[in-house]
Amino acid sequence: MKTWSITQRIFFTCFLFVAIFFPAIILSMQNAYERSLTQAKKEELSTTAFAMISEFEFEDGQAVMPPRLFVEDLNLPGSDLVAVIKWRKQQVWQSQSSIDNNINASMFNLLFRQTDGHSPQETIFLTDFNEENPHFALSKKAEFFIDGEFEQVSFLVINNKNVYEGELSTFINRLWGWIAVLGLVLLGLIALSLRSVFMPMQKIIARIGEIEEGKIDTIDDEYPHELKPLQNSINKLLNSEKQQRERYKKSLDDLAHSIKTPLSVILGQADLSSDIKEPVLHIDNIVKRQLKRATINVVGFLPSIDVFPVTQSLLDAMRKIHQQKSLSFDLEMPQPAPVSIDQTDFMEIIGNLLDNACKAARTSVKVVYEKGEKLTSISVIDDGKGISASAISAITERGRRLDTYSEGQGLGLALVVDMLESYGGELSIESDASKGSVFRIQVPHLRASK
Amino acid sequence: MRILIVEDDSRLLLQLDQYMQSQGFSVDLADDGEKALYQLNEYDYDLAIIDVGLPSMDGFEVVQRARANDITCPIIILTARDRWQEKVKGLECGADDYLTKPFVHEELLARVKALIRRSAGQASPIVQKGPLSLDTSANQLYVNEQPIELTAYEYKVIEYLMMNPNKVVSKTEMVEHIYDQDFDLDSNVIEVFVGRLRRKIDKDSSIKPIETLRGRGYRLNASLQ
Repeated sequence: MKTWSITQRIFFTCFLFVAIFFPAIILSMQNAYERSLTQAKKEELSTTAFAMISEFEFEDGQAVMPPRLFVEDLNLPGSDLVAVIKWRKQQVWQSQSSIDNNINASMFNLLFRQTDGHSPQETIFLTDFNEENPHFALSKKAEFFIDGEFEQVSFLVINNKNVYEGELSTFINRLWGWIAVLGLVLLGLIALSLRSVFMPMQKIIARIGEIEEGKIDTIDDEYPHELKPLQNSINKLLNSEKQQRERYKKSLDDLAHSIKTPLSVILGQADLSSDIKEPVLHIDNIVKRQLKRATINVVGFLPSIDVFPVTQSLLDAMRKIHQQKSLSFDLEMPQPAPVSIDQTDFMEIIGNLLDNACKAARTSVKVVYEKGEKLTSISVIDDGKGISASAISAITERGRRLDTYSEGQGLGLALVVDMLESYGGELSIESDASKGSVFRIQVPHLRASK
Repeated sequence: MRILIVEDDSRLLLQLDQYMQSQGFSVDLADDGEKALYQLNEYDYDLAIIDVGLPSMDGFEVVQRARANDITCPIIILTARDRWQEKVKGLECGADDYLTKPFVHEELLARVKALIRRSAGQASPIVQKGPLSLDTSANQLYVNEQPIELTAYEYKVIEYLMMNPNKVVSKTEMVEHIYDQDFDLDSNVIEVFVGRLRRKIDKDSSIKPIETLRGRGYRLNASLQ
């Protein structure tokens, strides 16, 4: 199953927050706005009723209203606001706005029936009057002194909800729009801040990659203080790994020194018989081989190295050692030439191959570096007499001595094969009596963990 | 030929001293890096054999500092560390050859002779100067292909002159190169060796192998070059 990255997790969480909290905010704001809008409407209709009450008069037992009312909407035919006045259960007046209007007498009759029972102190306000086509409705009563008696007169106002609903839906649409924009901006900001939070981590990961490629030794950049302990731990780990390896090598060197000097003394005895000399040389071979095997550095964290300078040093050394042969050396290698290998092991492998090549060569020795898709190959080419097919197959058998060349090659090549095997690499040999030999090593780019 | 051997193991040092002396070399010894460097700076050696694992200053540093002081004599390093990394390091420090321990003395001798020849510009072990022919591997002088019997010191004198043609060699320099530092010999003894050499090589005074430059020293006859 695919594991989610930390960025994805954080981003998903933030997205959930945005998806849950933002609609909740919108709903509560919508609700509050609706309430205040309704309250305002109630006050507006109430004011209209009061205005009508103040303008209402009785003349000669007849209800009289001025031709032009204070509330302008009541004067306009077809407007949203319509009012009627009822006295003794009869409609005695209706506003000019009732002309050419959907709000008709039957709606007022219905409203009157629903609200007739209330006292003059009460004001009835309905927000959803007439369920099929909801309207605001308000009913107010006032008592007038008519013919020596107090009589109740009802003032009924009905207001179409279209404007109100239009206003509300505009508000809601704007609200959603703005909140959506804000949500996107917020998610964008979160993405940006995640990027800036993870940037140092990505930098550390990149640096570790560079260490693996052998470009740098330690992580030296400035990091936020939260990452400092991590940076220090990595550097400490690298350093202790390196020191450990060096200590290990040094103690093996000391061991070699303390064994080999006495062996030299034994070999230097003037009257040494071959019965003693041969076992001593044998011991030396075993010590040599085991010590070299023990120092093969395929353990622990291993960065790759640029082999160009070490190859050049080896060639300089060969020029000095094989000076009397006046060989010409040729190096075909880019700069840098990375190989995923320990430097000491690389020098051992190429040193042995070069030394053999110099011994075999007639006039020239060539080193060629090639980087393939998965393997890096380095070929050591000489123009000597070549070696036989049986000798080639014998080389890969460990420890067997090749007599084709003058000295010590059996052990050297067996070690080369050993070392390459530890790196998951291999040695291949092509030889031709007329052209010479090609010893090619191949090492994987990324070392498989053992 | 005067050589310096630097080795901290006293048994090996003693063995090498005896062996190289038996092969006709004047041998000086040192058992640590500081002394080795002092001797290299102080005396003119024909070759030095230096062990890498030394107390006080390792062999690499001795070689490096000697080269920095313009000591040009050939240097062979002896090392128990037989990794190429160490060999390359030694050669980069300025050594001319290396030998890994354990070794047989004949191998060391062959390397020493090859290096001395190389530094004299001689590729072959046979040094030929006119009718004189010196087989450095067998320590034998031939005149017109006839072997000449020489004592060890007589051989050393003619070898030094033949390895340094064109060079006027003073008696003091000659003494320094054929004797160990422990010997405190009168340089007049060189006159005796030169006299005997002339008689042995040139019975009828036809070759005149060694010229005497009054007040300066001796030189291999230029006509033999």
